[in-house]
Amino acid sequence: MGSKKICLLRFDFVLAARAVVRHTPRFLCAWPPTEAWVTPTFYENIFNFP
Amino acid sequence: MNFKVLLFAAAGLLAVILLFYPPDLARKGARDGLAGGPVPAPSFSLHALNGEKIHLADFRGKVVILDFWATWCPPCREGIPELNRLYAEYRNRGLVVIGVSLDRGEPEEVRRFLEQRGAEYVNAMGNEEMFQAYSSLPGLGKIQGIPTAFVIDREGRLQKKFVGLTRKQTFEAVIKPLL
Repeated sequence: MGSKKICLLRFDFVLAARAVVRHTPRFLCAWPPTEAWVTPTFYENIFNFP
Repeated sequence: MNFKVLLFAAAGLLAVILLFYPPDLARKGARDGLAGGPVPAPSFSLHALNGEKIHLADFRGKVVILDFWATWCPPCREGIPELNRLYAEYRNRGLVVIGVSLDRGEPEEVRRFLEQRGAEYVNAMGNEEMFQAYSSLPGLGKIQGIPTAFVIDREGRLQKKFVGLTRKQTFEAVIKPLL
């Protein structure tokens, strides 16, 4: 499937660790927490999907 | 000494778990999850940024791309021109693109943002009810990140879920047979 750029809507330690181990995080999602009605995202990253 | 060995063993075990643990986001079933066939798309009623109220039922007979996004999401912003091009090319064949903003700010701010970016397709402010409906579809997994897009066929059935930034040609491969 290849790589995907995505902003996570919640922090997930497992996803974060996988991202760090497998890829280099590109940049943070610039979110103002008070303006996101979903649980805010912590970073943007590239994940490989199977 | 024994403590150090245990510590290294624990760290190694943790690393292996983290590498192979399959969270929803990476699970194949959560990505498109439609191996069992298309499922009905949850109905919704949203306030479009042009002031109109839109319902999924309004688009019966059209192929709909429903794109969850937000202004603070860089890959979502990168996806706007992709959706624009897709919409421009296929709107006459029955394609509708609906952007669903997860921003909590004023709709006017989102509208201005889209105007600056030249978004041609319909956009609306999302709400939690709709988000939860599309986040609890059997076999599709939660919406864990954005952009996430759903392709809905002319009969109102979900045909595909795309997680992350999706390019025009990837959408095309799915929508062309439906148009």
